[in-house]
Amino acid sequence: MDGSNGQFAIDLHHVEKIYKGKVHALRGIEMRVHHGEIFGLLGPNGAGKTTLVKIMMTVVRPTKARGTVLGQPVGHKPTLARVGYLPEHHRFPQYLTGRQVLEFYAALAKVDRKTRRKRSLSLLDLVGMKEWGNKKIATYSKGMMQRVGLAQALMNDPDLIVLDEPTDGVDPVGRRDIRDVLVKLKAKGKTVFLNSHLLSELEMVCDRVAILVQGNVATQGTIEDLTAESQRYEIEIDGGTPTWLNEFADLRAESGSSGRTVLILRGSDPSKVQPIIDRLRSTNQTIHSIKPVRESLEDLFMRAVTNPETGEVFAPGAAVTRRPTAKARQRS
Amino acid sequence: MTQTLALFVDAYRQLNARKMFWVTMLLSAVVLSVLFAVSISENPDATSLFDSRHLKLMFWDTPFPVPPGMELETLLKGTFLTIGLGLWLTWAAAILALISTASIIPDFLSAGSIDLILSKPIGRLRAYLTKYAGGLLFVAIQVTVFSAAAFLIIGFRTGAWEFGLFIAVPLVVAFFSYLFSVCALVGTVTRSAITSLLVTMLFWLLLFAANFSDEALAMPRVANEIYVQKLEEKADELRTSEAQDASIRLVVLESQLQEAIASRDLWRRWHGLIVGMKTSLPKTSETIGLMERWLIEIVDLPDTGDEPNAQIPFITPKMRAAGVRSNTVARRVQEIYRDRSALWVLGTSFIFEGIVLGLACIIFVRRDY
Repeated sequence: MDGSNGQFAIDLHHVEKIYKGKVHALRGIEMRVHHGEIFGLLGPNGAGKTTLVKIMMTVVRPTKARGTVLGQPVGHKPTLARVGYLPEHHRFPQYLTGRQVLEFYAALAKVDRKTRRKRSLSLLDLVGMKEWGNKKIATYSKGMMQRVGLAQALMNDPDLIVLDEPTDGVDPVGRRDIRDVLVKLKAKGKTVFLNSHLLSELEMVCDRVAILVQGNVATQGTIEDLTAESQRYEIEIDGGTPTWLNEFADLRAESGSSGRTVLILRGSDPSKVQPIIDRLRSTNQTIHSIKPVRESLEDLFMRAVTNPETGEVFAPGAAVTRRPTAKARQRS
Repeated sequence: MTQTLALFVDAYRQLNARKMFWVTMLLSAVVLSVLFAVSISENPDATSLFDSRHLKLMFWDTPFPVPPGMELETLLKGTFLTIGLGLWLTWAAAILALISTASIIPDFLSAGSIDLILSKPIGRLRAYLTKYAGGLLFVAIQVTVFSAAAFLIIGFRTGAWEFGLFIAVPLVVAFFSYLFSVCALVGTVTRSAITSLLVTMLFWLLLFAANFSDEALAMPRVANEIYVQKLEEKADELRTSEAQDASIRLVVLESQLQEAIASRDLWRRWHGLIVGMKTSLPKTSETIGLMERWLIEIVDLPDTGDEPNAQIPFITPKMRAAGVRSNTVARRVQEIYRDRSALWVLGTSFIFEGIVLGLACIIFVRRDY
């Protein structure tokens, strides 16, 4: 499959990693990332997110791995010339200036000297570090390092950009700037693979997400699809539960505050709300509010990392016991 | 090529940023100033031959005699070899270089740094070997600058443009690379600069001990070999002698000869054992010794003659009586070293370095970061 014409920028099958024959960090990852989308990888600490990213970047050797990155088998070194990577807790040589850092790593990515010079200036400008380009890295703050790190990942004009916690240590203004850069990259047709703990940020920029729990993909898809099941309308009314509640499918009642009742209608179809409103009007019941409600990414995340049988959050890290797969969870 | 060049430029920047690099360079300049200052002071009024010529440092007429017939060019070359190479580049500067470069591999492997390198389209083996070569850059730059300066000083002072001085560049780099390979292996395994520095220093001490043992055992071995040779010559003389007491003296001599042969074989066995052990180790001293061997011919060395009164412990009065002389022993030992081919010295050392570096590469390539 050709890298640029293939359907997926990342297409992983059965990715497994067992560290030193004991710790099962990844248990057969299946994951697909489309070209030109921003993909978010979520998961609690020790779920295997960084291991997965490092396998794609050839930093960690997989125990088993099938699939492709930009159309080439996982671990294919020359393909990395088309990939930009910002590792978590990256450490740049302290004796270099910001600009030298960009040019050094670009040279390792086989970018010619003329392009390196030109691109380093424009990228420093893009990440708001133009004034600091000729200052030593040792003088940079954490946020500045992240900005330069992002520029470094873009120096080879990559088709795929893999960012591991890019907003770590960055102030709110910097976070917004980074988000803007990601959106610009997407507009240019680049694929962005984002590994982050900041769910609200991912929610703002990601087209699709995958949640990793104890070395498995618990769930993956667009945020809309993943939260579709939880989409509902909440109608707050005065008084108790209406007697006609059972006449409507998917409608249930919960007691609200101040003696009110909240009617909950599952689904996202607004036409199904209309007959309920009519019925409430006909019985002269006061309607306080009607609002469509969708599960947040945080709710989705918490649902994914909670054991449906016990209601407890799965233990952090790569546990020895196997957690239920997405299929098993759906069955339950 | 772009990647290799980038790694070398980075190695240079890394060294350039370290104060130790410039401190070493400054100290090199101090050592080189000796070549400027040293000269020969002639004293025509001297009563003995040895008093007629002294070593002079700028305006200071030192009491150290200069052997008759030794030219300023030989003196400067000798100073370059003994002080510049023997003391400075292969001891003090080498220690400073090890201190400076011990952290190169652990820094390279540190979390957050290695990820960035390995995620680029460059093979692990190539990245590691280029980094290793970058570590040798410290010594390569130092010794090149030092040799070039020495070449110019000797050239301008004596008119002799000795290009042979530049042999010091590959030899000192080779010498340092034996030690740096151990440093790289330990650094790769432990990722600790301090540990790799300490282990390398200990290893260097081991090499020093092996070399010292070799030299210490070569002297009695050669002395005993000459002794046996002298006794055999004497025995042959007695066998053909018509003197009355010849047969009695021959009996005494043969018993002496048996003892000497037993002693010689013992020294040979021990020395052979040490030489055998040394074969598997890098030969730091002998690598640098090649420089002396190539720069100054053995015939150029001043012959101070035999020293019959010299008190050397392994030359017993019996040996001395049989005609064993300390200078003959020293010269024969020197010949033994000179007979060890450059191929053996460098070849076996590079085999050791190759094995150690190969091991480091295997560990680096197979590891997850």
